Amino acid sequence: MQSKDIDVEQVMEEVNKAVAAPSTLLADFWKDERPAAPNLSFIYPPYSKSLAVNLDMVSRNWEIESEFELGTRRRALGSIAVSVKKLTRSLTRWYINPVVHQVRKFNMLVTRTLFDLANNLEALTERLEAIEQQDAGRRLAELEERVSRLENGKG
Amino acid sequence: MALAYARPVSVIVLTWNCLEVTKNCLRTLLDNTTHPDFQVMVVDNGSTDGTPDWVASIDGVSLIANGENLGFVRGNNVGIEASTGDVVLLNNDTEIIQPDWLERMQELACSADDIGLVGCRLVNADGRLVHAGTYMPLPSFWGQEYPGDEADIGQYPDDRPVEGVIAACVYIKRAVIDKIGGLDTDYFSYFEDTDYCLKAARAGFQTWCCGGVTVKHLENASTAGNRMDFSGTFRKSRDVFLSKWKTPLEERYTSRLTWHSFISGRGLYSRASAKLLWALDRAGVDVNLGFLEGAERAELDDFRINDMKNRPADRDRPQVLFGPAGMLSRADGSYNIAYVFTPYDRFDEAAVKEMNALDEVWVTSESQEKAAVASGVKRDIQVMPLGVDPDYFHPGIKSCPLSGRFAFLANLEWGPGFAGPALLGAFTDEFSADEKVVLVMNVASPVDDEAGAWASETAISGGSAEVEEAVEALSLPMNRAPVVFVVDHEIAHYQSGSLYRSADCVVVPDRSAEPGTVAIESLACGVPVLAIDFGSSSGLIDGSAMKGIPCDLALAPGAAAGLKWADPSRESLRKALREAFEGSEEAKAKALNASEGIRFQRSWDEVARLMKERLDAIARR
Repeated sequence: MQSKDIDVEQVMEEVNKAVAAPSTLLADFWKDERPAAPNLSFIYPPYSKSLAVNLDMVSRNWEIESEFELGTRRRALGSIAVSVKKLTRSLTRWYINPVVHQVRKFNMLVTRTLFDLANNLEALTERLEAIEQQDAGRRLAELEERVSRLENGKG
Repeated sequence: MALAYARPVSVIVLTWNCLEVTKNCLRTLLDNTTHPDFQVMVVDNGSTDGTPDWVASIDGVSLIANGENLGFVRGNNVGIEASTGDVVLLNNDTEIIQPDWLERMQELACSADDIGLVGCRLVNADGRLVHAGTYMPLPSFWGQEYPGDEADIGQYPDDRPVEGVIAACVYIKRAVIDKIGGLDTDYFSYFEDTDYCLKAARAGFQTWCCGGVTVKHLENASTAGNRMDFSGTFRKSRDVFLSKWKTPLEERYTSRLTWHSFISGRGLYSRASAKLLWALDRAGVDVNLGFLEGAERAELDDFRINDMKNRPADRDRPQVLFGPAGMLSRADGSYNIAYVFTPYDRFDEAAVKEMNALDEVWVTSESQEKAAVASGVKRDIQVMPLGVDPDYFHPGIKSCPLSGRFAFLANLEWGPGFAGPALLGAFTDEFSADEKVVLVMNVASPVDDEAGAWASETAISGGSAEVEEAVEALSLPMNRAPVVFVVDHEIAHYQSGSLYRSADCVVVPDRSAEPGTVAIESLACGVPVLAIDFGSSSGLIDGSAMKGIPCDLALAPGAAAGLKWADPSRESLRKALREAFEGSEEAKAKALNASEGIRFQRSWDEVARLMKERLDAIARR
């Protein structure tokens, strides 16, 4: 994508809009984790917003992990809480791990499918552009021929 | 503007069919021109569409009907011969959009005896800037215009001497005509304007471009409207031009150099190289190129530099290798100069070894010089600072300020080389949601082809959402003043000044000892700067237009053992941001005052002059 197409004026307009109505790609996800972040906005170039950035996010997040580090916010009895969590995890591994494996497998297939679709879309777009260009060239040649026939009085 | 004394001037408009285009030209010329003493002379080249009859019916316009198409050159010469004073050649596909255009061009032309020709800025039908002077790149001898095709953001605002201007709108003083006559009739059309400017220069008259005048130019309307063979005419004229000017133009170079660097990328090396190569060419240095990225990868859309690429390889000349450590051994000239900088407090041992294996070392600042000496560089060291382009970085460049908010702007690549997380933390800690302030983070992916190890390790791909994930992980306080991330927008570099000018304060959160050109470009635009007080930035900090952020030094991750870079604390950043916010009016006034000096003392042309002086000294040895 050539930067020629992105003017500072457009960017600053987007910044103005973002200050008035902040938005993030991960807004919904952030809400689950903690209160919304009304002061943060992320604006992406138009060409990547809809597909490239989301694909990037998919590829970063498909590989879910059940063995994350366990912690606690409690100061008192914190170490006991962590030990209980670890024990619970080890007792439920027989059940959790196969489910996690299934989800990872599904995520991987979906991610691969999305990338295949994106690649197909790109190829189709290129093909369409080439056909349009050919068609425009053909029409132009026809018009030029008609003009020269008219100029020569043979029309 | 009003002239103290207005000289009479004839505006010569050449026509050949295209009546509607001519009507537009004459209507805007007569309605919009405020000059008190001008006459319009239309020279018609045998139009068959009613142009002569229409022109004859217009009051205040004289008509010379040639009856046949004499071409652009002979047609205009008929007008020049019929006039007695100064003349303006004005294409019939132009449109006057500025009332005092003629006064301004005349004032510039008459401001010195040795100014003979004056052109102006030309915008096309879409309002894009297509001309602010011309140059002739070698070896193609295919004349080009500054800047070619860019959004008109107010670049090239100054009156400045140029190699040439196109004849679509040019003021010619009578003294020039008396000395060298009219346009050269060996040309039918094309190249005659460049030829005329070169002839005038030979006769002692300079050509200038008037930055205060803009005229609309609907390019090649006559050629297109008359279904003329553009390429055939162009080729013939070029052959005539080559027969007259090839040797004199080749002889204008008085120094020789091979410039070995990244040329085609988006990073600092490529951007600085592009500016320096143009400036060196203007300074009379015949530059041969070597590509650190490999010549086969170097696809260039810059005509002048592409021409340098096409010059035959010649390694029997001094060579500047402008690149990162690890690549300096690629220098293969007759006298090899390492042009280098370090992001750390010192150069690493391997880099020093490479530098000592060459003949001379150039660095970008006094602090870099000290780092080189402290690291054990034994070679002669010269300071060649990074520069600024005054045509694109000035207070009059177009700005798009945010409504009712003070805007901090930070340009950065997301990675350890930038104190991005510390800046975000400091800003959100310091400014509450009620304060009318915003931090705009213009975040770019690191440039892989030019990045050193410290940057490439943390590279994120274009169109990536990694920044958003990384910011989320910072768990910043909520409900504070807004921060807007502009991610991977790849704003064209020529528009950077417009971006800086849209901010109230530019923050340079680089940990590196050489943060590049953002600070100096912002200062040239008259925008206050806040930068980490380390390395090359320290030399620019004056405590008013540019303020420093105190910092400690910390070991740089991924660098050789013991190398350090800046590590500003969140507290020092908070304090600096608050002070910049509260003292902004005074800082803005001081930055505006400082801008003129920065623009001309630190221009790329000035850097090129230093380099040429050094190259000449080397050649004299």
